[in-house]
Amino acid sequence: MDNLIFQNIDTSENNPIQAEKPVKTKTHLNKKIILLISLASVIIILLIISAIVSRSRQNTNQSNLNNIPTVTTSSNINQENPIPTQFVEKFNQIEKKLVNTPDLLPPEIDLKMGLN
Amino acid sequence: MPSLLFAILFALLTKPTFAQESTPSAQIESTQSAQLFDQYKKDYQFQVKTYQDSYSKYLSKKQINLQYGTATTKNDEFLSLKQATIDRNKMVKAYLMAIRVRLNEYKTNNPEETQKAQDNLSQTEQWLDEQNQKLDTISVSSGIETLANDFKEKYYNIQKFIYTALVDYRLNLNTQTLTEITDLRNIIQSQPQNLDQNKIYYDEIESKSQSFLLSQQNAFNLTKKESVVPIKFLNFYPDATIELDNAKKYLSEIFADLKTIITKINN
Repeated sequence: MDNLIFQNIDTSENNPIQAEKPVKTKTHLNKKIILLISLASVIIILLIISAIVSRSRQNTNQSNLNNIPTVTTSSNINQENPIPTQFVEKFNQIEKKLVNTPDLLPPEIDLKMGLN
Repeated sequence: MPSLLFAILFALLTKPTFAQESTPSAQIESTQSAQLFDQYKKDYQFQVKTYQDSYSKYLSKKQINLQYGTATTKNDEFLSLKQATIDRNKMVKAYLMAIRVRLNEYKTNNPEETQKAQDNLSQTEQWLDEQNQKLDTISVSSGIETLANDFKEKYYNIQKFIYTALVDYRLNLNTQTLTEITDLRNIIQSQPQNLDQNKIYYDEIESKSQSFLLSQQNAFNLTKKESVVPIKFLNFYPDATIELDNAKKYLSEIFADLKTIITKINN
């Protein structure tokens, strides 16, 4: 039963002849994948951001188009009449009378007509 | 008479309620008179064209008669002269009718003087009708010559009637405008929010009203001025027009003062 101490157990850790540890490639691969995944995720995030930005820019342009000033008729805001409503008619009536109405002048007549 | 006009004008100024009461009917009358005047004016314009046509025809026939001097050309000249004289009388009558009707527009401002002017115009219209009746019966050129002389003499008076009517119309219009401004001023002055600082404008209005009355009186006096030479017409119209324009200028200033007052109250 004492021989059992040196018995080669067919496992990598317990075998004294093979002291070299096996290379852990799995960890290295994982880092690359993580790097790749992180790069991909950054790219995806950038794409999403760019998409959002371009979308928002498009909306801004559309709203700018809607805000282009158009020709309108004059508003009453700047033409506020200082005369109260109850006097407007009276003022207009008087104003009409103050407008020059030309006289109907007499016709030109040849007073010598019929005289020799 | 000038003192009477002054009294009427002052009465209108100091009794705005009376003017307000009479406003609706006066406005209707004024509108009707204006419409009637437009009709008479159109008729007058038609008569002017008719007279111009017959007058140029007469000048042409006169030229032909001077050139040939035959019995036919002489008769043609006589007939064309007769027609031109009839058309001239019709034209003058149409003109007198138009200005007579126009006087109704603001007649209430000085009914007596306006009626006098209208009576003069009306009598002249009748006289012109009589002249045309005489012309219808005339068959010799000497008869036309007599009527032409009568017309020439009468025309000095006709001119006086015409220009008096024109001045009267504008006097009445100005008085009416002042009455309306005074009414409005009294209403505005009675507003509770009327400010003490507007007193200066009210004083200005008073002062300008006096100047207005003076210019109106001067224009009126000019229509009464008699010519030194009995048969010569003294043309007062240009001077009267200056006085009337001055009166209107005062009215515009008073109106502007009133606008300033109402604007100040409103703000």
